[in-house]
Amino acid sequence: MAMSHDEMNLLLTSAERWFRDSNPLTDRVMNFRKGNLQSSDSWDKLAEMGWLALPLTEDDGGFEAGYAKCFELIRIAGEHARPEALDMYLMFAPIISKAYPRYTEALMTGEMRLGIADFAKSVTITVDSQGEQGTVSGSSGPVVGAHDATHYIVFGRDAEDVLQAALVVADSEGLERQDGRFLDKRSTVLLSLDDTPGLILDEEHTNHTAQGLLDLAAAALVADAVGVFETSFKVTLDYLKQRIQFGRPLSQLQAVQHKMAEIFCDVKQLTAIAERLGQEMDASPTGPWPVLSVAKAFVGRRALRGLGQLIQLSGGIGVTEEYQITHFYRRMHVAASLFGTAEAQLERINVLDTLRST
Amino acid sequence: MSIFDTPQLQAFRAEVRAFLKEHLTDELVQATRGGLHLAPSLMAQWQGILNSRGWGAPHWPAEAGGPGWNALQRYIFEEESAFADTPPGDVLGLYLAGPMIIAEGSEAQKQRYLPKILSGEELWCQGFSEPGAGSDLASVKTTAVRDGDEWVINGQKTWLSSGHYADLMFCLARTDTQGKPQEGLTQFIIGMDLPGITLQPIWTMDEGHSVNAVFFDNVRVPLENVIGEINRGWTYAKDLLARERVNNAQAPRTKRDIIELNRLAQTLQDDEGEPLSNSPFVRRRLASLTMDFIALESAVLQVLALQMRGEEPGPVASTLKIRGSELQQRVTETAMSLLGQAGVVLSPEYGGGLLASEGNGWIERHLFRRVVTIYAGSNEIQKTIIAKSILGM
Repeated sequence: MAMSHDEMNLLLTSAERWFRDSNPLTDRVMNFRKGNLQSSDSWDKLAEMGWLALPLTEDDGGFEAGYAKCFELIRIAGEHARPEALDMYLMFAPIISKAYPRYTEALMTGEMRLGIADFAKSVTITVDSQGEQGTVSGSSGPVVGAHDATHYIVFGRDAEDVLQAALVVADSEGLERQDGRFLDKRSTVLLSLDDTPGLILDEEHTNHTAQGLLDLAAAALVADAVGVFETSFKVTLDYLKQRIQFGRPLSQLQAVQHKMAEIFCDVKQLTAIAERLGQEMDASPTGPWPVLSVAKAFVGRRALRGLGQLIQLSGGIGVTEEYQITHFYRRMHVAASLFGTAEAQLERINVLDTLRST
Repeated sequence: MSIFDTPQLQAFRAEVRAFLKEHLTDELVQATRGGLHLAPSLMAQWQGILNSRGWGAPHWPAEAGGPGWNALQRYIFEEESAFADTPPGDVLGLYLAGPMIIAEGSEAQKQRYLPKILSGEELWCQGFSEPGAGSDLASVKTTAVRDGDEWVINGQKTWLSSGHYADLMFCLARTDTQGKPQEGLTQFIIGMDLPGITLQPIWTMDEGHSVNAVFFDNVRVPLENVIGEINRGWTYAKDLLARERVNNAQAPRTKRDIIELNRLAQTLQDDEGEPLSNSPFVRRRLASLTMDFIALESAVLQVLALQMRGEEPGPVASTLKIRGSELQQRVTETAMSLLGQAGVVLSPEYGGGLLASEGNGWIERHLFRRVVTIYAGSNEIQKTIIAKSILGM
């Protein structure tokens, strides 16, 4: 059954509450040396609350929420710097479910958890003659959602140098993991694959090209960045209103007001551009999405710079581990750097095509 | 022709290079390259080597133990040191505490403290900022109350760089609550091992521990530990921060960083296997940084020329701090941009990128350098100084 507006609002309210109360950012910040870790029952809870059904089709018992609504949930997860890769799940679960329906149940219950590897030029994907099975070899890019993924989506090129994507099982033969962490302390892994068997995620199975799948991951990071930027702005604004220097709140200094107003313009623009991206993706679920590259580049350029300015306005406390904004800055770096940096995305923009198609 | 192209200065540069080549060990170079927060023992080791040559404090007057160099010689020395990756000195002792004691301290204080700053035997930290007194430094609330032959200090300081291994602190405390807030402040020298001092680490964004909070609970300091006159501490602090602003331009180290950045662009490759430095876009970014560096260095050299004539730059030094610190940030931002994906993937333990070893050092530097536009009088404060003191606004 499709989700009504009221139901969606209820879901978002409950998400806000759960993200705030369960394994909250404040606790994770205090234990930063251990990393930005999710609790062991996170995915059970996400399934229990029905959020994992959000993007799946009604026929499969889902809510068929669409990209724009999923973006809303990702945004709230970003506001709380959540360690679960819910963003990637919401983008990729419908893809896997459509391509290989046998996984739908496991996706909805949280038993199947996805880690998405960023593209690496060293990965070679060999596709068999039926176009379903394949093998993957090489070293992957960093995986988002690595902590407890049961399956990885890996991107690489085939013998004809065509970009391909494959789904591999985490405990497959010929797959080794090197532990790492992202700048914001979420865990990641680098995969070494040696003729590792995988299911091919081609256009025939998924309705998306491999580049389209990479763009889904980039879109998830845009939605995440909206939450990160909005909450960083709010935290800073609250701080400036209560921080007294020179006998009055810093927020009353005109220079500070102007700087905040400038950053506010960027926050509103990122919010608007992400909303537009969601609408564009819902209107044309298989792409192309001309706003995608623009939005992702905006994250890497304007939002990242804006967050740096928010740290500046926060003063010394802004560079300490105990203060939230530090973690948001690092998370924005991750959103900016994976699945196409600003420079890479800007290179993809064809000015006339983009202007005429939007 | 460069102002450095005189036979005397060229000979001086050669002398510095020869000295560094002879005395700078691989261990010191690797340690300097390897991390942001160098072990104090290594800092002290290099300081001792410099001091044995009479070069312990290039900017101090000869009568206080300086080498008697002029401003251009000092710049050459800093530049060659930066290029050779020498350990940074104890900035707080050499650039702040030492010059303040030279300018305002008693003869006994000069005898007691300056030699050990020069030799690296004693390291310093600065107790200025408090939780409620950051940019608004005059709001300092830590008190010093006289009790017989001692001052009793109570309160709290924060952002103490190197506080966890410093031997001594110069500290701004309130000795009078009457009049303007700026009028009742005094500078004290406080031994960090005194009873009543409690340190608390502050972990910074780079995951390093270089700054601390400190709490004073009835810390008793002898009368002779007051620097200069009682209630004149604010004036001394302003003078000290003005001196620090020239140093904070960090031009020689930034020049070294841009050269290193250029090397990074030559090493990293794009998807086609081409060095990033072949990209016109990357070349323009590096050229733009070079443009801004030359502008910064030119302004620094102007100040050096003033100092050669025995004049002090005054508030115009704020322009150096603003542009110098901004440029330091832009250099590491560019490095992160070049690293791309590799810039956000770290090894599980602190220190170093997992995807590209070339990222080692850049990532931590990038995060830590968010602070350079904040510390030593934030850039917003510097702009206020320019507006008020230079522009008369």
